[in-house]
Amino acid sequence: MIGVTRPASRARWLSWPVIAVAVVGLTLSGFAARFVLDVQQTDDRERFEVRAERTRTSIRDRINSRSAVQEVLRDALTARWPTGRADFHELVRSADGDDPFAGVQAVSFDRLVRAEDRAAYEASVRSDTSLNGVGYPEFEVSPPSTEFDDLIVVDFIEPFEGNEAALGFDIGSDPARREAIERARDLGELIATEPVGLVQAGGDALGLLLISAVYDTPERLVSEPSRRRHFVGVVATVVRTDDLLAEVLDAQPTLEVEIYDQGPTVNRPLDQFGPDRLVFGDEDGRFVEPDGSVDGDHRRLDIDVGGRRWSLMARPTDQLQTSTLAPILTGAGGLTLTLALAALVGLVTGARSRAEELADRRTSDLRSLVASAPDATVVVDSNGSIVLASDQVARLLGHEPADLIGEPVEILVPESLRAHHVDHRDGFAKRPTVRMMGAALELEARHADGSTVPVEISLSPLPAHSLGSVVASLRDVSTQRKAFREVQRANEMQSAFLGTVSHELRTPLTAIDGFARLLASPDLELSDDQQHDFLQRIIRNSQGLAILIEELLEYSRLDRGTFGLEAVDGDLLEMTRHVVDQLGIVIESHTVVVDGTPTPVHVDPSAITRIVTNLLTNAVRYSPDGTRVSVTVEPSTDAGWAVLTVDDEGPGVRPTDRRLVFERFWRGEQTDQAGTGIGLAVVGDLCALAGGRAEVTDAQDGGARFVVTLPVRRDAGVNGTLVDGTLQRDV
Amino acid sequence: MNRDVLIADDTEDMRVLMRMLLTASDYSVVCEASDGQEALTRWREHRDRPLCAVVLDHRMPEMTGLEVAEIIREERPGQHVIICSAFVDDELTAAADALGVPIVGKKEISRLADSIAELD
Repeated sequence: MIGVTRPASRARWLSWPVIAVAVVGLTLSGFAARFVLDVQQTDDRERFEVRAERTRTSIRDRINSRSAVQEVLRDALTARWPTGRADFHELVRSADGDDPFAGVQAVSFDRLVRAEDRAAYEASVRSDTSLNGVGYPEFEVSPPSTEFDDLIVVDFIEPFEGNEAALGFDIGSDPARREAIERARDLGELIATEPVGLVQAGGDALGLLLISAVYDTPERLVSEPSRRRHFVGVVATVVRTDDLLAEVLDAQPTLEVEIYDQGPTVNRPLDQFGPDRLVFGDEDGRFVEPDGSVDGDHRRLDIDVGGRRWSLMARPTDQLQTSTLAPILTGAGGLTLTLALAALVGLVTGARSRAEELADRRTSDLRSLVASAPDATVVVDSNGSIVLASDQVARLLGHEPADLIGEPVEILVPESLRAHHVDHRDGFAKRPTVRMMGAALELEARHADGSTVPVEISLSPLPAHSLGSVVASLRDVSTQRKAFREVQRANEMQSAFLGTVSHELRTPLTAIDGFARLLASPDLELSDDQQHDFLQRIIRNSQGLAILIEELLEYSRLDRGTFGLEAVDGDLLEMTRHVVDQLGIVIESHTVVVDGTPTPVHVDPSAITRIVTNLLTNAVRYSPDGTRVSVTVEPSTDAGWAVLTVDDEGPGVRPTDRRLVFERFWRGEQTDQAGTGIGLAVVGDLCALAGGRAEVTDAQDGGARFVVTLPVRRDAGVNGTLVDGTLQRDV
Repeated sequence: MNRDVLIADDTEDMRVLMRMLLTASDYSVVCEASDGQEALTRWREHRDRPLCAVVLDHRMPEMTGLEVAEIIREERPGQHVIICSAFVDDELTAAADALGVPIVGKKEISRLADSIAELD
């Protein structure tokens, strides 16, 4: 085996389509992930903003609702003024029947008490049993002293339980509360305080107070002095901001909220976010910086409540934080698809490049195969056009290979068969197999010069995507075909020879046998002449048989190559005369005349005997009885050769047969003539063996003339052996 | 029925031999021919006096014995014909059988007269 190595090719999968697919795919995946992220962020942002807004609305509604309850309560007090403790108790509960204290620490009426009336007031409260039957014996106003002339003392408070500590507290002693009270009194509107520590919880819990002024007349008071004049106290709702807002904010777990008090709206609201401004939120974990900035996404919403502005600061909690899962999944999905696609493209392009490489290799293999093929080879495509032709085509058919490219293959088919060939070609295309074309037919191809060349054509289909669809190899078989015909003819001749030999042997034998029996028959009375005639016939037939048998033996010897010649010097004329004399009765039916001049010759005498005998036998056989046969011996005009001529008066040999008469078994058209077809073949072979030659031409009188030329000189003679019709010279 | 016979053979020796043999058996060789064409001509000349038998060599110039026999059979189906051949092979036997013509080998030529007698 011959090892075949191939140059290492670059990694097939890393082709430009794969890279392109990968780049485009990754880019698109990136865009897709980014898009999904954007959409999600936008969506999240919108959700966040909606929730923040909802939270603000919810808080405002809650406070407004609370404010509305307080206003109803205040109006009721004003309308019934002076109102007692029991009435208040009743009013608070009826103002908001469902849950009068939702988110509320306490609702109180805080009475305006002049500093000088303090003691009297304390006494009246201690003895007020309208609600509990025992009064409030421990009651006193706190703190014990104040810088103001008027006190605003928590007089009625509901619910009482849990708020006992607040009873008697002078809320006017606290500046923040006092400021709110005065604004509420002067404006006649509900005012909210800034965040304050709640008394009830010991000041720890943050809260705010909604404050509405109560006047002693239901009339509408339009001026500040009249309001001050009629002012009798305030209704205050103590709101626990944590309680009020937590309920709202707990409903929005996705938001983190801090609320800052920015002060009264009548003043320019401040942007202050210090811990002291915190209304709601985790005091220790604030996310709003004191300057109001927030790290990350957030939203600021202002709420105006009770004449104050609150800033609601909201930011999304982790629950609302944009999930990166979808973009990651999108990106990962894109990446996976890209890789799969790139792999697929890699496989496909790899397979295709392999296929192309294979096809290229196949094509180049095919080209070199065609170029080196000993036969003339053409490759034809499915349309019957020649796509490749080997140099051998030029040698065999005379066409330049380059000129044939693109021509229909029928250019190589003899004109008479072209139409048929197109059909045959279609037939082959339908069932392509490796086969000989026109099996059992003697095919011919057309030469460029218009002649035809005997060929054998083998067809091989090519695989798809090859250079062409069929390879046709044309082999010149003119030699084989000629040889085949010769063998065929030789066989026919040999079989005819057997028939002839049987006939030629049996006829004289029958004659000898018949005449001998007649002579031996006791019943027949034969005259002397008859007996002599029969004996002559017996002798003549015997001699004929002897000659025939000698011919057969010579043929056998020549055929086996055992015919040895021993050349000696002699006179051809004398030798010829001697042979003619010996033939006697065999040639007595004709007039045989020997003439000429003594001619030296260097040849085996037995060869002369056979040559002369066979030529004369032939002349006698093929010319009518009684005609003349002339034998002439002369030196050749070319020095060094002796010429023996035998003329007869028979029909002669046709020019076309003149080469054939010296071939074995050939007996001319008239096969009814006697003879084995051996005699002249022996003449031809012996002449060749003796270094001469034999020819046949026309005699002067129209018969056949056989001319034998033999060497005169010793050195011209040849000693050798004829093998298979070829002279093998002795060395 | 007369005993007139026509013989045809391209070899004079054979004609002489056949005549001797047939004459010895009281047949009369009324004519001889040396080729097929001559045999047919001579046979037709004897239309007025039909022959007892026609003896034909097979291998003759101009026409073979069988070719002559075939024409004779067409022209006169009742005419007895014998083929006398030196070389008898299957091909010749089959062709002769098809024509209904008996063959006598030349090596059995001494039986020629008997063969003619058997035709009747």
